[in-house]
Amino acid sequence: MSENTITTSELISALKLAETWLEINRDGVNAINVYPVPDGDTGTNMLLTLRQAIEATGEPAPGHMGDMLAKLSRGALLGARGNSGVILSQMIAGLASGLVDARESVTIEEFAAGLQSASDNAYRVISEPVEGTMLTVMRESAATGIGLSGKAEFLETIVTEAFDSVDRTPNLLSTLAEAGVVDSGGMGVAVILQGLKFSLLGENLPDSPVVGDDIKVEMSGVEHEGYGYCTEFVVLADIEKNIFEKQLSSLGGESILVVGEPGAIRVHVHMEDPGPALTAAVGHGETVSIKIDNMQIQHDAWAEEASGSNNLSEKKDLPAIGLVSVARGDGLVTSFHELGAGLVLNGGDTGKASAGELLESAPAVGRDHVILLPNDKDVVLAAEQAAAESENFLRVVPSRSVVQGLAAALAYLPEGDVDEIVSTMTESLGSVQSIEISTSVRDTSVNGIEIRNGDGIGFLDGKLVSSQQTVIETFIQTLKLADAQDGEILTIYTGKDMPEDDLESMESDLRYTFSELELDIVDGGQPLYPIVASLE
Amino acid sequence: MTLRILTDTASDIPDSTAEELGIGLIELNIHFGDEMLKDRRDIDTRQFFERLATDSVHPATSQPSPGEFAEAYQSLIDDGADEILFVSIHGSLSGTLDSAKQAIELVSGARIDTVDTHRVSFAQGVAAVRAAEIAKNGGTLEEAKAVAEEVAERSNSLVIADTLEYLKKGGRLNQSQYLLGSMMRVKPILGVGAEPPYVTIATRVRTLKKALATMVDMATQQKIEWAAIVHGEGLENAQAVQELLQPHLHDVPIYDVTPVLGVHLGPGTVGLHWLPAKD
Repeated sequence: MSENTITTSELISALKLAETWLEINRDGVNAINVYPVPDGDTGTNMLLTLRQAIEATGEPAPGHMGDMLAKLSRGALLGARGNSGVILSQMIAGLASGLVDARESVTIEEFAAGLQSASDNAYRVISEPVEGTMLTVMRESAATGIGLSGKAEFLETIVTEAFDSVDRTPNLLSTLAEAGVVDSGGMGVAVILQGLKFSLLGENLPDSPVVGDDIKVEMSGVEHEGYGYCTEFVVLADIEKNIFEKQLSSLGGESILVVGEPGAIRVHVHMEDPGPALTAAVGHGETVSIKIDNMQIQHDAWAEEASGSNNLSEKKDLPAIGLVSVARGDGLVTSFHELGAGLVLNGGDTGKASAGELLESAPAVGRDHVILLPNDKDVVLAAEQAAAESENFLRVVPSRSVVQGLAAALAYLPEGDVDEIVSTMTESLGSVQSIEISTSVRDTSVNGIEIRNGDGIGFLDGKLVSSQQTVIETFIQTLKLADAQDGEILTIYTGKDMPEDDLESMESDLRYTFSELELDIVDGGQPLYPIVASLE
Repeated sequence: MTLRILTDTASDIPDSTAEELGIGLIELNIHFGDEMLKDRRDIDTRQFFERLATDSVHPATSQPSPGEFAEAYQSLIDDGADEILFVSIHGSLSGTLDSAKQAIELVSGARIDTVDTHRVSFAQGVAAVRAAEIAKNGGTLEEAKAVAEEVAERSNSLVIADTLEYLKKGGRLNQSQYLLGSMMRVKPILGVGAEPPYVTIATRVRTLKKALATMVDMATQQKIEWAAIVHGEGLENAQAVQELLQPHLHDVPIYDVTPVLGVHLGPGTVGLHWLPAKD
């Protein structure tokens, strides 16, 4: 072990130990996951992504570091699972491109530059980088390593900075502060870097995880993000950050981030329509550096990295255009099959299918093209990534809920002009209102709504809008907020935890309250949500 | 030279319109078991749907024979025609065009040609009507044929059926299209095309109300110069479509579906046939 270099085999051993260390810390990382969706799977997603990346390096792995990292990177891109997995895979891709020419070993300076490249690449390809997340942790950690040449000093420095950066994430991301946690993805990055350090410095793994899983989460940041426009700009005016934040919030803005000082504040906001946000900004003063991204249209950057083939076999009995969907619950799975899906993936333990899974399974259902319905915000990213790898074989209709997915599946056709079909399906995402009812697992307050442990919580188009004592009461209140009396048909998918008695009382309550509405009740069998419904 | 246009009853052109424009109509056949009925002549639309609802035998249809075609040609020739253009129902959905072609050599005294519209109902009928206008104005067989072909290619149809069972039973809808449109909680909108599988699911929506609106939306993507609504036991739906079309085209006429098409569509159907304006 040379003092100031890292060999390929040392790096592989280090990655493997990092994987083990992440596994030991997985539950802890999962427990603090509140952003962007509090579904407690960040640790799992990162672990599975890293594991698949390492497996892809092969046995024995190439001795040429550039080659080994290229395999690692491709494995990560294919195995990327969930939002955090996708970002991790892009960090690995950045490391690989930074060290593409590395041979048997690299110097510490070279490795430091590789980490810098990992951070840069993640920022480059993530369409809406949010500070206070794993992006920040990677960037700040990598920055402290630049200019150092001693192995131990370098590794200790970047790991210390990584954990310090993790501690600062609540200052940057209000969701974390409200929940009283640090960022889970950032913690995952710090854990991985620490695992690398343990191995490269020949240290033993500690007896217990660095992240405990007994952390109290004060609030679940129970807000799905609706799709729309990611809008960023700088306002050159004397205006207080919190005042402008409130203004944006009243305009329906989500994921609001306002930084800077009066005189120059930088604003990041998600809006259904970016117009009102810009009008408000211009009302305060000169507005510059305006950047508007349609969040439905994900980055094409991944496409540049696309390589490899699909092993497309000529199967004449397959439809020209196939359909793959992701859903859990027997009734929902059946519904997708009935609408023409050749394959419905359940997404494993986390319910989130990976890019690799999508890429691997899709050729079995379509001859010329396969359309993917991710039905989840995180899986949209994985699907986009799979599509970028597929040389135009896979198309994505970015459904963010199972209800949107069903609406889009209705417009699916197995033959015809694929662009036209994808566009019709994408248009139909907005043709329904999506309602999800769950129960709260803690006392909290969201969007000004007081929620007690065990209460029903109602989401309308991904946004928490109501909470009542029972699931049924919450459902009815959510329907009222959705103007259900003006709707034509309400399709209800009952979850596996929906009691039979509740079902009967719900039906009579609904018929009484919304007498004009046609009801269609389907045994969906989905976990977590006693009721999922589409109003059209 | 006297040019006459002949079409079949699947064009849905009413007898009165045919008479007015000098269009000859040849009847397709409906079979209830061994009993054969001439479309429209032996059974009208109301009688047909009554019988469909009560008869234990499911009806079938057949093309006119070459002999019947020869008679139809001869009758036009006797009436003074020395040129005849037959504007046919979709040649892949019916054998009618084959009979029409075979009959040409059975008669003499007129030049006879045919056009495969690759359409049915009024999307076919409008081609016959436009060709008849050419004939009335002294146009030639070639001119009328060119117009019929151009109009047929431009014309479109969308149809909402209460059920796909009739199309399936009659073999006009293939298995994969049937599966696509026949699940519960789905209202398919059917289209007709020149290429296999000819009768297709154009799109699917959840409810009848949405289907009617979607049908009109799809038809009015471009400016339209002509339209007709055809229904079978679905007057209310036809009127709803007419209402939705008002901003685009005033008082679009509503017709009863001819019984022979009712065999394949069943009760409760409404079809919209239209001609987009030329650029």
